[in-house]
Amino acid sequence: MNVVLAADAIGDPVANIGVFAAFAVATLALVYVVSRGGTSTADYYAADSGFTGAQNGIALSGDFLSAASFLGIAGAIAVHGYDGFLYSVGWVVAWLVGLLLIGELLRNTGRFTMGDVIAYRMRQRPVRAAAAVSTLVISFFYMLAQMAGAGGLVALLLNITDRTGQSIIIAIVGLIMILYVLVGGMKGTTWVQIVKAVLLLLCVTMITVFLLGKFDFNFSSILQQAVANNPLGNAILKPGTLYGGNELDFVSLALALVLGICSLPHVLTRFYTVPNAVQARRSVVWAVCTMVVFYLCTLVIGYGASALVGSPAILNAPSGENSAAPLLALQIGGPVLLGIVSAVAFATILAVVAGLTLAASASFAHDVYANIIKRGRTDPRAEVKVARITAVVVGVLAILGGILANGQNVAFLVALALALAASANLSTILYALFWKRYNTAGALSSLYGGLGSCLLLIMFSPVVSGSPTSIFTMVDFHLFPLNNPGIVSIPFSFLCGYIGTMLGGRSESPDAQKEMEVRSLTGIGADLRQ
Amino acid sequence: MLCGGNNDPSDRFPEVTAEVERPAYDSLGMQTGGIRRVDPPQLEHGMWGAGPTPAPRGGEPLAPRRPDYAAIQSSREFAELRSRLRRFVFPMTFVFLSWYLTFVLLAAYAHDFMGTQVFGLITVGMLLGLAQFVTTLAITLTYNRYAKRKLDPQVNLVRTQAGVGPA
Repeated sequence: MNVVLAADAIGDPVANIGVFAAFAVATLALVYVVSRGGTSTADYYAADSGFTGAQNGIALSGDFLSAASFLGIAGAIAVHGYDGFLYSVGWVVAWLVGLLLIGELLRNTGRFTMGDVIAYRMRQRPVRAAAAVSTLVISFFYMLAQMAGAGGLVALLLNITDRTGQSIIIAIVGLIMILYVLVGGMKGTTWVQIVKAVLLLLCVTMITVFLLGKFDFNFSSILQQAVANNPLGNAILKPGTLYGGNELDFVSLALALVLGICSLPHVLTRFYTVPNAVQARRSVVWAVCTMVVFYLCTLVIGYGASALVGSPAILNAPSGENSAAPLLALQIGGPVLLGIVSAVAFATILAVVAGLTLAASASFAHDVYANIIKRGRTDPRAEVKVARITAVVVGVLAILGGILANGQNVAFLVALALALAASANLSTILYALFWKRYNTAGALSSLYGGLGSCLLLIMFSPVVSGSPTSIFTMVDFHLFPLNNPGIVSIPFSFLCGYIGTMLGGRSESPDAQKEMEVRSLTGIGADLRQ
Repeated sequence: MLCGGNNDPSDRFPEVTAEVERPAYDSLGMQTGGIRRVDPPQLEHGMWGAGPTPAPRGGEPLAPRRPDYAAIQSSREFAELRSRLRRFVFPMTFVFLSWYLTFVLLAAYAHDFMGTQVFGLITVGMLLGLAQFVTTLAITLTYNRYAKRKLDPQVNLVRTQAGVGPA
C-alpha cells in the first residue's frame, strides 16, 4: 500500500481540493461576518484591542503551528528521530522570552507596530524607518518560507507536480490570503488563526490518542517499531542524525530559535490585539500550554509515522519528509482524516502569511507613511487605505517570491528569518524597554548592525555557495563556516547597540524616558479603551 | 517636568481621570470622523525634534490633564513595582536560558550520554527534552502567580495614586 501511494498523490486529490475549498469559503465568510463595519486604524491593525487573552493566546500558538512546524517537525522526527524533537524544544522554550521580557511591556508601550516602542523616546523618523526596514525584511523572508512550503504541500496533496500548476496554486493561496487581510484586517485574521489552531490541535490530539491506544499506551513500543522501520535504527533515539557533524551550527540555530521567535514582527503585533498587559500575559500562558500539548503530540506522531508508515515510504512520497503526518493520517483515519489534515495544513499557510502581510502593511502605513512621510498628521482613514494598498503589494510580492522560491530549502528560510529577528529586533526592544541611557544612535546601530551582519554572513555562508545544497552550486565564495549566523550576529547587535549609545551622547530625552518607563510598567496612558 | 505646569509639590500625582483624559486627545485635533480610538499623543512627541514635550495644538494647554510621569517615576511605589518586576524576570531569564543552552550543548556534543537508555527505549535525551517542556510550563505558571500576587496589586496602587484607576 505504501509503495503505491508513494508514486502518487496521497489520497484522493479531488476530495482534498473539495475540503480545502470548503474551508476557504467558510473562513472567508467568517472573516466577513466578524469584521463588518471596522474602518479605524485601531480596528485594522489591532482588532480594536478587543480579544481576550485566551483567544489571542490560541491565535498566537496558531502563528507557530505553521505548516513548517506541523508537517516539518513531524516529518523530521519520523525520518531523523531525536534531532527533529530537539528542534521542537526551542519553539516551546522561546515563549518565555515573550512572557518575561517582551509581552506585557510591549503591550503597554506601543499601539500598532514595533516602531511605536522603539521610537518612543528617540528621534522618530530615522528610528521608525529602521524599524520598518527590519519588519519588512524579516516578514519577507518568513513569508517566502511559507509560500515556498505551499508549493511542496500542493504537490503532495493535490497531485500537481508540474511547476506551472504549482505556481497557479501558490497564486490562488496568495489571493485568498490577500482577501482575508483586506476584508478582515486584524480581527478577521485572528479569527482564522483561532479556528485553524483549534482544528489542528484537535487533529493532532486525536491522532496521538489513537496511536498510543494502538500501542497499549506504551511509548517505548512505538519507539521499538519506529527503530525497526527506520534504516537509521537505534540512531533515531539520540542526537546526531540531522545536526551531527556541524555541532556549532546547531547551537547557532538553537540560539536564533529561542531568541528570535518572540521578536518576529507578526508575533509582536499580536500583543496589541488585547486590551491590557494582564491579557497580554494571559495570551502567552495560553500559548505556552497549547504549544506544549502540540509538540508532545508531534513527538508521538513523528515516531508513530516512522513506526506505521516507515521512513523509506515517507522519503519516497512526493514531498519527502513533509508527507509523514499526512501519510500517517491516511493510514489510520482514511481519506476523511487526510482531507481534514490537508485542509488544516493549507489554512495554516494562509493564516500565517495573512498575519505577516498585516504586520508588514501596518509597519509601512503606520511607521513610514503616517509618521515619516506625513509626520504624524494624517487621517486614520487615509492611513488604513495606505495599509490596504501595502497589503496588496506585499501579497503580490509574496506570491511572486513564493513561485520563485518554490523548491528551495524552506527550513533555511525560516531559520534565516528567525536569526534576523533575534539579531535586529530583540536587542533593540530589550534595550529600549530596560536601558535608561539607550538613544537614537544606539537604536539605529543595533537595528542596522544586527540586520546587516546577519544578511552579510548569510551571503557568505555555505547556504548561498560552496556546498552541494547551496543556492549557487557552480561558484564558491563562502567565507563563513556556519549555515546559521545567529551565534555571531545576535551578540554583535547587542554590542552595536551598546557602542552606538555610548558614542551617541547623553540621554537625549530624559522626560520621555520617564514617561515610557511609567507607561511600560503600569499602562498609564496606554489604555484608551476603558 | 513633562507636563510643563502643575508642579505643586503637595500634589505629586495630579488628579487625572480617564474621563477627562479623552477630551484632551480631542483637543489635539487628531480625532476625526467619528473614529474613536486614536494614537495617544505621547507617540508623537519626537515629531517636534528631540524634545519630549508635545507642543499643545489647538490652543488648549495639555498640562493639567496629562499624568505627571516624572512624579510617578520618582515615587517609592513605582520604584517598588520596577524592582519587583526586575527581581523576578532577570534571574528567571538567566536560569531558563542557561538550562536551555546546557540542553542544547549536551545534544550537540554529548551524543552517547543523551542516547543512554533509561527505561525501555526511552533515552536521557528524550527525558531532558521533556524536562524542558516541564520547566517552561512551570516557569510560566510561577510567573503568572507572581504577577497576580506581587505585580498587579502594585500596578493598581501606582495607578490609583496617579488618579487613573485600576487597569
